[in-house]
Amino acid sequence: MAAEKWLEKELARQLAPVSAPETLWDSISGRTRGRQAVASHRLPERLVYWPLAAAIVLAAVAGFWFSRNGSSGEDRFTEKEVALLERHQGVDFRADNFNDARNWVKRRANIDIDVPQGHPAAENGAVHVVGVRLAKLDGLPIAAVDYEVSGETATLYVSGKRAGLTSDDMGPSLHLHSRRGLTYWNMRNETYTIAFHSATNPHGACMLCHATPVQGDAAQGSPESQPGL
Amino acid sequence: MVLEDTARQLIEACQRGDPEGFRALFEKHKDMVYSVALRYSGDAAAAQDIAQDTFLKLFSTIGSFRGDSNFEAWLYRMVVNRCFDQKRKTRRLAPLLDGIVDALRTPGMSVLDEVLRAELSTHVQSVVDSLSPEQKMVVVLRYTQSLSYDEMAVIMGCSAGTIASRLNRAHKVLERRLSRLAGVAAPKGTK
Repeated sequence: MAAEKWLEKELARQLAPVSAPETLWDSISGRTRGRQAVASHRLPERLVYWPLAAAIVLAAVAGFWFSRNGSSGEDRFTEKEVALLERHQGVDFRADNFNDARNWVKRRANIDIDVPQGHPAAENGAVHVVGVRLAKLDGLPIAAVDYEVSGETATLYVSGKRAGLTSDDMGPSLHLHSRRGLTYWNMRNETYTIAFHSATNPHGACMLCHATPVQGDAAQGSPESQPGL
Repeated sequence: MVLEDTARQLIEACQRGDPEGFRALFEKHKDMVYSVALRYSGDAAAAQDIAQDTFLKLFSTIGSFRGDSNFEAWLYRMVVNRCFDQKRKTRRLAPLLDGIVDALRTPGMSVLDEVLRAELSTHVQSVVDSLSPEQKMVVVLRYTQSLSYDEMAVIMGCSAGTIASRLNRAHKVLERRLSRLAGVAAPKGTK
């Protein structure tokens, strides 16, 4: 007990509070002034953050606008857009030949569909037109022509060129084939996309225009490896 | 540690950015902050660094202090955290010695007593310094600021029982290591 009291007394004596040195405030106020000096040379936070915030908002709005309008500079539909179009089934106008379908689209939506007429494949029954419907993608009218190839349904989507595209080629552009059963090309002022999801005959839908299934344009090497397809 | 009206007004002045408020708040608490820092670190330069950082932190964050909180406990926590963060390797308790050795130089003491007392002071300080950070902080708060277990518990963020346990263990270590020197510290006839 005596040792304990001794210890407490000794600790209280040795650990007694002390007065802070006079220089302490000077060192604190010096640091504070230094910080203020640095801060005064900086732009006010609002002058930095407001333009940054405005830029972020503008970028977000622009991104939203482009995503809504699909004006990504691509000359074709994205897979996502095709997936949206494929949600709509059935036809607005039944036609058993391509000329009737094309004329109906021209009258209703003023879209020109240029495919070779009187092609043997169409004549001999390898390709059978079912009908056509009209759709809209972000306000842009699109004609969807359903046809059958060897009992499997393919759809040709045709739309006027979208904003931001500069190509004014009059002839057909190179065909691009994606792994997801999509074939793209441009011609005149329209964009063309065929959706045909056949495991056994992936290029069969090309017989709408070609005598035999097209395996891919030689001019572009291996279309399957095209980025973004 | 109840926040009085004047203290509240002082804090509110600081929250408004009043320079005189900062100075007044500093004057009110500087000795407490510096004492804890010095007794914990055992080094005047380290203590000044700790105290300086504590006040800078206080001034920069006082805007977030809620009036219904315990201001002193809040300030103590800042000091304690800065003490724990202090990484100086050359911890010594020399500032403690200066005053103690002077006090021991009382008339009538023999040269041998002076030497023994100086030796005792050195030992006490080195043994305190050898405690774990938490034990040492409890000892410092207890003997430097005379805080209660409950007050220390609020500051350290633990229960009063934990504080009591830490202090008890610290006492046992100090007693065991310093028992042989106890006779030197006690004046003749009082032991």
